[in-house]
Amino acid sequence: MICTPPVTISQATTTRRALAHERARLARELLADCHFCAHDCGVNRLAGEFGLCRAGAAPRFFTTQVEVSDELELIPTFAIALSGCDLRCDFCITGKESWNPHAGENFDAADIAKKARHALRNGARTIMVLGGEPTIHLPAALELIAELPDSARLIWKTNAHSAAQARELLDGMFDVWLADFKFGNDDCARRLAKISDYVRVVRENLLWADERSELIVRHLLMPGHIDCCWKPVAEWLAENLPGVKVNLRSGFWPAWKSARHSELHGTVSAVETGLASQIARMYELNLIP
Amino acid sequence: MKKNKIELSTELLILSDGRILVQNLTQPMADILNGLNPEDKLMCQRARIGHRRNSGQKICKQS
Repeated sequence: MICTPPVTISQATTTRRALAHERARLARELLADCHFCAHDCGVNRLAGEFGLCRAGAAPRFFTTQVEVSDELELIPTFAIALSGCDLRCDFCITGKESWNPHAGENFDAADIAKKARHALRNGARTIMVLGGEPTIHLPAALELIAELPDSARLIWKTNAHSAAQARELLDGMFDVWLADFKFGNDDCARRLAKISDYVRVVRENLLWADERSELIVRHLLMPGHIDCCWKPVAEWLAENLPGVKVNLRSGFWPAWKSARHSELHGTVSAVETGLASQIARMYELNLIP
Repeated sequence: MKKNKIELSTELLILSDGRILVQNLTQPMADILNGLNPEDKLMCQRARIGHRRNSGQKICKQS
């Protein structure tokens, strides 16, 4: 049995950078008994054990560049995409890198932070940490924050499948949580992303994030999943997070292993996009572009 | 003197009905797509935001 100390986070440290530095050290220790995501594997990643995400202790990344494809209020953003993910979405647009934590290049927090600071000086409005799923590389994300100015506006782009251990370490670190709510029910989540107990976990994360930071919820419309996925997501958001910013994305394309599922062979039709918009209006969601 | 090479990457999916889906949109690609279809308000905004923050330049007509 592997014993690790309980998470104790100093409240005396005042700057984000200093707090991130402290938490990064703690997060690295916690890799010895990893419970960052809701899979709750408890493997010792420092000793070479792998959980469901297959990630080791050394993070890698596959993209760092300034992008303008995210929410208008966040762009231009310097996007840092870490390799590997704890979900296995067959339709993943970056499946090759997201399913493989060994893809890409070695992550050097100081070097990436230098590029990020350069981007900020040259017009980037925010810095976005994403994946794959960045939660599985929490030590690296915190090391990066420790190298960034406290004034930088930081975005945590996540699948909202993190566990309490990760959330405690993330508290106060990011200005905005940009969180996916992909599936409206557990059956679709299990079938398309091989994940159980999805809805409960995501709801828990969204409620937490809304209390601790600014929250933007994303939903990627999938062909054939308006009634089973989008509608229940919209209904829950309206009831539990009224007024929360929602980005409804209609640009699904049949990437990666989408062909495994007959309904995911194509894109979202204009009829489905219209229906999804109607649902958003019906629930008076706060849609943002 | 060796210049630093900056590689940017955007993925496009061009559909048979003329729609173009984009992943990881960069500023240069936003400029190109905006030039191809200046009537696309959202693309216009994306292109404009980046330029506005850099130089104040307007690159497409206001809708």
